[in-house]
Amino acid sequence: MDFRGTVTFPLFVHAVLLLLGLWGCLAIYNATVYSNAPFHFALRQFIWLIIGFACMFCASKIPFSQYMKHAPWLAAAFFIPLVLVLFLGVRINGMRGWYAFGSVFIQPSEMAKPFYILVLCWISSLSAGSLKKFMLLMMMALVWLLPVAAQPDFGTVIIYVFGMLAVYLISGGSYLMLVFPFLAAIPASIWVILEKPYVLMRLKGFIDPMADPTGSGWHIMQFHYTLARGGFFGVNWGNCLWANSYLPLSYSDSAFASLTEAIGFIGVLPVIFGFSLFAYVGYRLAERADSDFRRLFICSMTAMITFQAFVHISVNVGLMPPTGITLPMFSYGGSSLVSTMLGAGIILSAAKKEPENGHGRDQASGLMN
Amino acid sequence: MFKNRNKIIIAVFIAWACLITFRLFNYTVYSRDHYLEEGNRHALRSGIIPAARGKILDRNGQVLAWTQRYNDLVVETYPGICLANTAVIKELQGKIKGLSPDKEKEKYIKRNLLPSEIYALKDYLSRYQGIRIVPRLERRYVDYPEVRKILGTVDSYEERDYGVVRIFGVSGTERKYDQHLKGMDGEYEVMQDRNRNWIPGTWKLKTEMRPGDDIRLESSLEEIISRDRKTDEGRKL
Repeated sequence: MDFRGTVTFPLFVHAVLLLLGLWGCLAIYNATVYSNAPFHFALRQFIWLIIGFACMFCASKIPFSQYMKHAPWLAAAFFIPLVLVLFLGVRINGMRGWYAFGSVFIQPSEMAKPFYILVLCWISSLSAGSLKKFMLLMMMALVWLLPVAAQPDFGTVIIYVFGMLAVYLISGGSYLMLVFPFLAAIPASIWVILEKPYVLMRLKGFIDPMADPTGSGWHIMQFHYTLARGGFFGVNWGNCLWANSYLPLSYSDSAFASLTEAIGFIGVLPVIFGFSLFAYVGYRLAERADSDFRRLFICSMTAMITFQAFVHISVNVGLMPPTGITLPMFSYGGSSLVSTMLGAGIILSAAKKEPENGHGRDQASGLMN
Repeated sequence: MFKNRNKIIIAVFIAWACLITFRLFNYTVYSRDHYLEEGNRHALRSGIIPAARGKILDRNGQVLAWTQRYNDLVVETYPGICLANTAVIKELQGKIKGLSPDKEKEKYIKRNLLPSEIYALKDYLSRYQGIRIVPRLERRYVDYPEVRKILGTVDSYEERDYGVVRIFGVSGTERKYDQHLKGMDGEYEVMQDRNRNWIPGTWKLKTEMRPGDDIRLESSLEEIISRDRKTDEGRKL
């Protein structure tokens, strides 16, 4: 496969994302088939898929040098709604993280992800020293994390923290510096556990789900039972009784388990393989990109999407406690879908060869120290 | 540097994917039976369909004794079962007149719910554990003491595991023909959600219920009454 091809690669990405998106619509229908309106969520997701495609197409057509040039402004444009949502947003499931426009809900923390990575790459390109780079990235990440944590959306906080670490590591940062965020995470975790008792409950439920099978261990136990019901070949589309009856949020937070019940072990293997392939394709593409800035963006964005997918799947297979993180392209949610496709569009743009105008290359020189 | 770092990240993702695959294989294939059994144990509930006790008729076919079905509201309050706190119980008491604590104060009971009261409980049943509508069968008789003497009495006991009340004859005709009158209970299996609500489409009949046989007496109602009165007058003389 020629990833450098101007035609082959974009076509490949478009086809894969279209298939994943359509599969996601089917998965959402499957997870809500026993509800009063089985087509409601799937249809809305399909509309979002079309919007996402339009966004991806437009984002891929904008030259990446423009993204590089306007990175701070683009980031600011997506950061401001992130702060304003705390005052103007609506609260859903105890989280003030959505703007409501009639029956349409937009989650700014999802939409901002590609631009958060973009601004981190831009910061990384400004500083050469490992310590200075680390400090600047940390500060920028903190600025973005605060409004997200205030919603509170700890699942997205985890994704954002990983995004920062990915940018730092890929750009050649020192491993030693990683000790500091881990040290900082200890008091932060204690504070979160003390302030938000449900976090501790989730941890307890994860460690010993049978201790409280109808309370904190409920979600974990239902993951186990749903996966077991799926078996090797699954119970087929539309027959997911367990996912529909017992799994909380089977169309978003528990999308992978719900999918496993329908199509079984053999059916979800391509999903795991697909996200691994996505990471590999990102790596191969970045390897051949024109500049370090482009490489860094492609790798970090790919890593963040793959990380989000793997955290979601790990939660669903009982490797991690419930986090509320959605499965990109599969879980219900327009913001998540559009954000992923927007990110893919900018990756496509970064992968394109552009006539040299000097700007991006000059700025990115010495990025990978 | 970039190449090495990126390789490390890819390696981490591949290792992670392998770990996920192994774990998934464990739940879906290797330990599947164990989790299926455990899941069914938590979700499936067996229940009894109480057999309707047969009627007792006089020679002319007039019904002397029959069984009537009532619905009671039971709100369990002991720890571990009920999520319905005091505020919810107060709210319920506002809607359902006569909801009061039972002797042991472990639950609140309102007997003989009206259809409108059952409708008013719709939302509470799906929201809280421990709020249940329990069907109850009660034996009724024609209002003649003379007939009651012959028919005898019944008693009942509650089978807590199934939440049903069984009726059995303790004297008179009720006892004599108890085997015929009582019939045979049916059994069903159903999946219940976290709040013990039945999940639509999961109800399965395991054993068919056979209602009790009707018993026809050799005397008519009038004969029973007049015979009893004559006996009473004889005793007085």
